[in-house]
Amino acid sequence: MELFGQLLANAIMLGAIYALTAVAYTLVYGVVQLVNFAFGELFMVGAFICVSLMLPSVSLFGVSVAMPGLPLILAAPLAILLVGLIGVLVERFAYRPLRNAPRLAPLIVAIGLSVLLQSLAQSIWGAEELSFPEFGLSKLPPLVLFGSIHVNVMEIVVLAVAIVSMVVLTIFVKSTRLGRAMRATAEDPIAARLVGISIDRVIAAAFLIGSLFAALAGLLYAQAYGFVHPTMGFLPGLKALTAAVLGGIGSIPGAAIGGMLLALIETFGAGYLPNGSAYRDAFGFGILILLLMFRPQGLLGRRELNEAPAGSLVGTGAGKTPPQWYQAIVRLVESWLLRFKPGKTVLTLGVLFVAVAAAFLITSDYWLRILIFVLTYGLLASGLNIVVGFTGLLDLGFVAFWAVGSYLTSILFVLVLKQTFGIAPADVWWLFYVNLLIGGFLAALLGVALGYPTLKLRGDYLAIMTLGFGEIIRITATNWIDLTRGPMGIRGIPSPALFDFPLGQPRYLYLVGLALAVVIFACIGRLVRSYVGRAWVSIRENESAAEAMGVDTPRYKLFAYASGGFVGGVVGVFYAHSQQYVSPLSFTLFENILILMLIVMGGLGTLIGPFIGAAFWIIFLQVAQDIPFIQSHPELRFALLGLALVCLMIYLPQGVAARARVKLMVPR
Amino acid sequence: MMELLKVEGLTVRFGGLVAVKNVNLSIAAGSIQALIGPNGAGKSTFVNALTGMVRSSGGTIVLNGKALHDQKPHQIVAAGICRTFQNIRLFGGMTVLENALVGAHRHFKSSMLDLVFQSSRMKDEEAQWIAEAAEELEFVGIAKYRDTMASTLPYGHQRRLEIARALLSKPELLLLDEPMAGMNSAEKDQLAQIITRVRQRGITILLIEHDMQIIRQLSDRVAVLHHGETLTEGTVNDVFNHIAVKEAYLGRAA
Repeated sequence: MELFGQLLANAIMLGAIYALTAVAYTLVYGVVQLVNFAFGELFMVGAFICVSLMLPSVSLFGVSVAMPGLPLILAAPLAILLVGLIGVLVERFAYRPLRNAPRLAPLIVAIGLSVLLQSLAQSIWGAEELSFPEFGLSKLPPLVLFGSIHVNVMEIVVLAVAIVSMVVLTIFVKSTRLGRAMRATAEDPIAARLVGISIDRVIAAAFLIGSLFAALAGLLYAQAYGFVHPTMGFLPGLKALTAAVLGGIGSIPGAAIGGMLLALIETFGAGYLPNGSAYRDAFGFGILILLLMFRPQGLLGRRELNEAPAGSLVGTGAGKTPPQWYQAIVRLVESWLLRFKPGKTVLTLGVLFVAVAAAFLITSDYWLRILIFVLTYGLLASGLNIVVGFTGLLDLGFVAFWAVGSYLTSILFVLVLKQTFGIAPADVWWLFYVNLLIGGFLAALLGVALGYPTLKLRGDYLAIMTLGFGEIIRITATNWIDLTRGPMGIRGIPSPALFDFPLGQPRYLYLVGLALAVVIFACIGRLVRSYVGRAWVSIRENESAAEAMGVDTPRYKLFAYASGGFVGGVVGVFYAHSQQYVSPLSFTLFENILILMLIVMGGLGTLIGPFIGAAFWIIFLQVAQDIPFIQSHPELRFALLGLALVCLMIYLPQGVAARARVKLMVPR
Repeated sequence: MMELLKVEGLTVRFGGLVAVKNVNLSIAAGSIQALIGPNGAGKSTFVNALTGMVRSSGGTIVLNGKALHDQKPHQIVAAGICRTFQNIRLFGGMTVLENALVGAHRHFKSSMLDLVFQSSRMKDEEAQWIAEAAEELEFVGIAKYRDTMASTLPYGHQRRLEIARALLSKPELLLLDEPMAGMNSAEKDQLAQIITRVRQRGITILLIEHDMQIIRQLSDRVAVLHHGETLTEGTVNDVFNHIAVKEAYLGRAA
C-alpha cells in the first residue's frame, strides 16, 4: 500500500508534465496536421533558459557570462515567453514555406529542427548536465500524507499549474475569437480562409501556445528531477506525443487524460513488473504501437487522422527556387559533366576504377577507415532509400535491421563459437560470408514482421510507429544482458579473412566493403529499373492510384521493407567485423535520423544520392575538425546538419543529386 | 446480347449514411453504359465499390460469371476491370511512359532472380510492354510526351494518359469517372473519339459523365442514380424522356 501510494503520487506529477507537453502536440496537430517533433527540444530549451536566468552566471560556449540570478517566479515566465518566441520563429521560417508541400517535407523538417536545437543546446551549455538551482519552495520539507506517502510541495504546485493552464486553454479555445478561429481552421482550413480567418495568424498562435506549454512542462520537469541536460527533452517529448495519440490527437481533454494514463501505466509497470524499471520506456512505445494498430484515433479522437500524403518530394518541383549561388554551382558542374559526355558504361567503370585505385593510392590508414565509413553509411542509406526514397514510407526504425545483422554475427562468433565451444574464428573464416546472407535474410524477415502492422498507416503515424519499433529494439538490446552484454557491448569480433589471408587491414576492409557496395548497388539498381521499382514509386506518388492500377500495395510495401532490411542486415554484419565491436550505442534513433539525412542530402529516390550524401557528410565531419571553433564545440557540426536539412527541404527537396533521377525501366 | 457485368443489390454504407442503396446494373459486352445523376448521387462511390476501393456492405458483383465483391483492388484489376479517376491521379514524379507501364503491372511475371540477373525473360517482357505502352500512348495521341514528367503534362493530356494507363491493364471493362471534367468542347470532341475507338476494340465502357450531349452521342444505355438508388435505367431516349430524371436534375415542375 505504501509503494502503491508513492507510485501514484509520482505518476500524477509525471502525468501532469506529459499532459502539458501533449497539449503542444495536440494543438499544432489539430490546426495543421503536423507532428512537430521539435516540441521535445523546446521543452529542453525552456528548462535551460530558466536555469540560466536563475543562476548568477553560466558558461555559454565555454565563456562565463553573468546572469541576473532571478527567482523562479520571474525566471519561469521569462523563459516560457522566450521559448514561445522561438516557436513562432520556427513556424514562420521553417514550416510556413512548406505549408502546401507533401507531408514528408514538414516531417523531415521537424526532425531536422530537433537535431538542430539539441546540438545547439549542447554547444551552448555543454554536454554536462546542469543542476537545477534551489529555490524557496523546493527547500520545504515534503508533506507526509496518509502516514507514509511523501509528497513535495512542488509536486502539488506542478499539478495545480497543469490544471490551471489546461482550464485557461480550454476556455481560450472555447470562447475567444482566436480560439474559435483555431477550431474552425482545425475543422476545415479552406472554409476557414473563405470566411475571412487569417490562417497564418491561427497557425502562428497554435505554435506560440504549444511552445509555451512545452517550455512550462520542461522547466517543471527539470525542477522535479533537479537537473537540465541537452537530451532531456527527447524521451519526454516522445512520451508526450504518445500521450497525445493515446488521448486522441487534436483533443485537449484527450491530451490531459492521455498524459495521466501513460504516466500511470509507466510508473506502475516500472514499480511492479519484474525488471520493469529497465523496460520502463519500452512500455510507452508498446502502448503507442498497439494504439496505432487498433485505435489510431485514440480515446477521444473523432476521426481517422492518417490520410494519404499528397504526392512525393521527388519530381513534383516542390520547394522554393534554390539561391543564385547554388544554381551557379549546379550549372558549372553540369556543364563540366556535359563536356565529358561520358556514356553510362564509361562512367560506371570510371567510378569503379577510381574507387579501387583509391585503395592503393591512399596510404593513410586513417583516411582508409574514413572511406570504409563512407561505404558503410552509403550502403545503409541505400537500404533506407528503398523504403523512404522509392516507396515513400518514412521509416525511423531502420537502425534495428543494422543492429540485427551486427548482433547476429557478433553473438555467433564471440559468445557462441569462441566462448562456448572454444572454436577459433580463423577456423571458421567462411562463416563471415555466410553470415552476410543470414544477417540479411534475418533482417528482411524482421522487416516484414515490423512492416506488417504498419501497412494501414500513412505519413506521420507510420513514422511514429517505426520509431517506436526501433526504440523498443534498442531498449531490448541494452537490457537483455545475457544475449547482448548490454551497454558494455561485445568485443573481439574477428576481422574478415579469406582462407588464411586476413583482411583486417583498412586497405583490405575497404576493398571488401567496396565489393559489397558494388553488389548491393547493382541489385538495388536492377530492382528499381523494373516493374518492382515502378510499383514502389507508384505507391510513393499516389497510393490509391497504384492500387487501382493493379499493384498489390501491401505486398510491395512489405517487399520494400524486406529489401531495405536485407541491405541493413548485410551492412550490419560487415560493420561488426570491420569495427570488431558492437554496442547498443551504435543503433540509436539519432543514427537513424543521420542516415535519413544522408539520403535527403544526396537525393531521395536516386541510386547515387545515398553515397554522395554519405561522402559529403563524413568528409565534412573530418574537415570540420580542423576549424578551431568547431574543435571546441564538435556538436555544432550536428547543429549544422540539422540546419542543412531544414534548408534542403525548403529550397532543394530533391537533394543535390536531383538530376540523377533513375529511369524506372531497363535503359536501352 | 452477352452480359459482361452484373451488379445486384449493391449497397455501400458509411456509418449511418447509405451512399449506394440496393443498386442493380447489368452491362452488355461491347457496349457503352452511361451512369448519370446529380452531384452526391453516389456515382463515384458506386465506381469505388466496383473497383474494390470501398468495401460494399451488401450485394454481388459478377464479371463474366466470376464473383468480385470483397476482392481487393489488384484482384479486380486482374479480373479485367480498370478505371480512371474523376480527380486526376497520375504518378507525378514518373515519366509518361513509366506511368503507362504501371498500368501494365499485372502482366509482369519475371521473378526476383530474373530481375537481379537481368535474364532474357525479364528483358523480353520489359521490351514487349514498353512497346505496348508506346502503342497506347500513340492511341491516345500523347506519344511525343513519353519521357515527360507526368506532373508537367497539360491537363487534357493528363486525362488521356489516365486512359492509356488503364488500357494497359488490358481490361474487359473500362470505368471512366467523369473523363470530360474541366475540358473545353474541342478537347471533349477529341476525347469522345478516343472513347469510341476504345469501344471499337471490343472493350466495354462504363461512362460516368455530366455532359448530356456527350452521353447522347456515345452511350447505348443510361442508368440514373439519385440519392444512392437507381432512378431508372434504359436506352438513351427512354431515360432522357423520363419525367423523374428531369425532376432529379431540374427540380419539380411548378
